[in-house]
Amino acid sequence: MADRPRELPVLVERLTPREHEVLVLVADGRRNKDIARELGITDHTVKFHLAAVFGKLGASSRTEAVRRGLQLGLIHI
Amino acid sequence: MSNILSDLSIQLATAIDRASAAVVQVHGHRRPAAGVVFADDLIVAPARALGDDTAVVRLATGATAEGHVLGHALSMGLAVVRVPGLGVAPAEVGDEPRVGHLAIAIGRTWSGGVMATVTNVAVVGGPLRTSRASEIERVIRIAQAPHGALTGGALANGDGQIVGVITNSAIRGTTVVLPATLVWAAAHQIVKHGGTRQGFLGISSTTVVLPERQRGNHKQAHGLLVTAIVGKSPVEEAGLLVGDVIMAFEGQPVEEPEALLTLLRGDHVGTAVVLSVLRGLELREMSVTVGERPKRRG
Repeated sequence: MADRPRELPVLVERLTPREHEVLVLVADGRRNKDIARELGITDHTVKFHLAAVFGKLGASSRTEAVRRGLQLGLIHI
Repeated sequence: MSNILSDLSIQLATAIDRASAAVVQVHGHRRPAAGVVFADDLIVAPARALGDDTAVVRLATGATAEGHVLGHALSMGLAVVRVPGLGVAPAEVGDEPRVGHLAIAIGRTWSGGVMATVTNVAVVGGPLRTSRASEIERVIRIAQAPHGALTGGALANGDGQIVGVITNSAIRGTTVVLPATLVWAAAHQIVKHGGTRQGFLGISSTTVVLPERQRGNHKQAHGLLVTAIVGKSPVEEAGLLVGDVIMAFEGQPVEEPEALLTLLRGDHVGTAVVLSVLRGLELREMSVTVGERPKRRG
């Protein structure tokens, strides 16, 4: 992953509570299947939320979404 | 008439009989690998050989049974599979071997038969780095190159007790074997918690560049500036403040929040760890008891 110039850590559109939950579970290294089970939703819905998270964070991968989420203070560690 | 070679052969075959009873074959979506029964109905097997969900296990008798994957020990590359009604007695664990000890590597051939090879313990060493932020504290290496049929199988001693789980990794021609005590501990952890547990400190942080003056004599240029502290969290109890800069976790420098996140994936929940924290010009060590992320809305 190449280092891009650091963008300002600003979130244009807030995550919904569900999207936030999904992002936090991704950060904890859970697979979509585990996330679906934990939240009582289908794999398909997890992917749907994740796509929305990627869009809002401008991320193209799980790793990137987690990195942005950490820098933005969306994920506590 | 007694002959040292035939006596040795008999003892080896007896040990292999005993140990191989707990070595099964697992099938996922890739080529089969061996697995070891470590508790009733529970098997550890190489994660790479298995799918995400189900696994077919072939027993010594030739019968097959279906199991499901409970979770993974990420740093070891192993998965735990539960097979209800497996009916195989779990392996007996022996004392950790020393360099020079004779040992038997046991796996399963493609057709499911026992494959065994007599070898010796070449190295007992570690820690072994397995990714950017995880390591295995101790590993055994045997004088034997990796072999597909042995991967996931057991390293046994002369009494037929199991002392390690064989990997497919090689270091200079020797196969890496994970000590049974470490594997069993990690595997039981997975059974209890459904996977490696993510530790939680209760901070938000961001990478900062430190000016020369604040680096002191350890030369680390980046640290993690604490930007928020979660109420009633482990770090709040430990006295960490917003504005502190976390430099290291258990002596490992942390320069990005992700590195800390990954380090917290080790088995730290409930244990005290040391954070090296820069407050102004003063570097202090703080002991923090790692917790778990509060359920929902982290």
